[in-house]
Amino acid sequence: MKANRMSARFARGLVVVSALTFACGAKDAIVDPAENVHASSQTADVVSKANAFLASLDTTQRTRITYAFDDAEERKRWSNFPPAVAKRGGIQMSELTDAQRTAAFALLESVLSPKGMEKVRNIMAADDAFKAQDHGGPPQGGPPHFKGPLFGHELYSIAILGTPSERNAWMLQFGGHHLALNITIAGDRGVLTPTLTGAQPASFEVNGKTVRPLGAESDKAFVLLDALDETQRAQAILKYRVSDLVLGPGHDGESVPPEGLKVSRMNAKQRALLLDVISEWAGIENEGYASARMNEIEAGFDDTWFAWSGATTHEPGKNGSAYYRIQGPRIFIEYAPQGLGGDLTMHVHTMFRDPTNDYGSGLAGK
Amino acid sequence: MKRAAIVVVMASLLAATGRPAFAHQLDEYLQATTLDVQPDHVRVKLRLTPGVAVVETVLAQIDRDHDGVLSEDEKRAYVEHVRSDLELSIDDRKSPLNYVSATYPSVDAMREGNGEIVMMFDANVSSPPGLERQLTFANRHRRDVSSYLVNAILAGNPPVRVLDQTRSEDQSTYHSTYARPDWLVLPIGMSSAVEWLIAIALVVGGILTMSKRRHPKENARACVVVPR
Repeated sequence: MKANRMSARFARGLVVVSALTFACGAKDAIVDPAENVHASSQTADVVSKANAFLASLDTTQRTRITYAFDDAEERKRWSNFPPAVAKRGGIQMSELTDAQRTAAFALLESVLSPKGMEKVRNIMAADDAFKAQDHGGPPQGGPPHFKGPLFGHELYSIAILGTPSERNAWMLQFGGHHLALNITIAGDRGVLTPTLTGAQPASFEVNGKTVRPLGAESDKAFVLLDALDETQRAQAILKYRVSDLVLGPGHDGESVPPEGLKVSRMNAKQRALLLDVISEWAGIENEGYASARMNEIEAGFDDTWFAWSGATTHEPGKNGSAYYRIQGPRIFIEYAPQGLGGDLTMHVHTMFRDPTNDYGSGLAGK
Repeated sequence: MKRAAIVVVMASLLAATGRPAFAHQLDEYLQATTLDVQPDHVRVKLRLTPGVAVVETVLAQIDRDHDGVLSEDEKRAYVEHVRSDLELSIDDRKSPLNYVSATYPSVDAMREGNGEIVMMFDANVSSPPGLERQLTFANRHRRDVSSYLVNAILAGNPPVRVLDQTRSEDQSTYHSTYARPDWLVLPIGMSSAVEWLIAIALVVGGILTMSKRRHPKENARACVVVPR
């Protein structure tokens, strides 16, 4: 009888604990139904634009641009290097007609937010600016047989892995020099990782206006750094130099121990500032996809870390020269200035990963 | 021929403007090391990428007969040279680094700044669960032109716990304290709450079962229905 009473009490306790546990675990997975509907209609629009783009291509172009969803080689065929140095799959903008290019950018615009699309265009414009600085062809007296440019917006390429679908997973790749968008779309979710953005020059003029493709990534990070107190800064600022991306191209599936200042030691204002920095990457996607992504990031926010290496000041209106990293359960961001004759402020590479969901592996099961 | 043109473009730009064209730190030899602690060894993976401004000095070191071709003997010799400049210690005891593999890009790719030499070495080190160990790694290869990165890679299930890390300012030296989780962490990776709950339920269920077996008479008496 005593054993039976114990078993009954145990069973009741187990039910209570189970309910609490599932409630705690489930809260991370809950997505506002309104967001779900928005994202679903967004995917419908993306699929429609993808099919319209594919329909604009001839048979040969369509064959070149499409790959199997699980094509492991094409998935990782991205880089920070120019296409002449690191070949991309798919088809370059230079090989498309005006109508086809319009359709390609309409597809991109459906996947990206207006701010994300502006960032992409500015990165490509930076490549044009770099080319215009006599960096696009052979120097005076160079080999006459050299053909083709190294830089410029025409060299960015687009590829599709899988079949555009509102239900089954597929991937859109767009990139070139300093840009690699790898976007997996599965149902109402769009996964932007891994994605690389970069810029060189990091600041240039267009029609008298200064353009800094990744200026906000730098400026917002300094606002956050300046908002930390001395104790927090001492924790955030690494005592060694980080000279390049740690988990850049070729480092899929790797993770490193977190370092720096833990978000759990930040106040509400500082946490908001850090989320603002993160939004420069997560917000590249359209609002429906980005919203779900930010929810994921915020769910593990207390276990997220912010680390800094290098100079703690910068000239207003210019990028800084310091490296920083944001690392959490669902996020890995790096901002890594690159040497350019000593001016680290004019050349930068950044990396955006999700250690649990690069290439949508967590959604698509692949 | 196109590659030669790319090299000419980049070299000319560097010479004419003092500004490298693109890619990594062009005036440095980037050496990125990852340290992967496994139960019975530490895997040291070294990725070496010479920038275009320093690649000729690196090639000169590898291509010892200066014929423009990296022979298998020359590649092996360079691996040995690099290995001799590395040092791994566990709990202050040096652990020899045993060669695993090495891959070399083409000379053209290296001259374009896109060439990555990858070398892997293993140190036979036992890392029993629950025991804290001190790992020290030092890289002294080509300190005149190099930029170093070194990171512990978290892998395995459950992963190694890195308890602390320090590096020299230039990352040529790295030190960490690490431990593999002990027997209390089940091998299936108990990261989810559901798995923890199942485990607790199994343990408590086992205890109750054992309790019933220990007091069978008491339980039987409780179940007896006395006929009237």
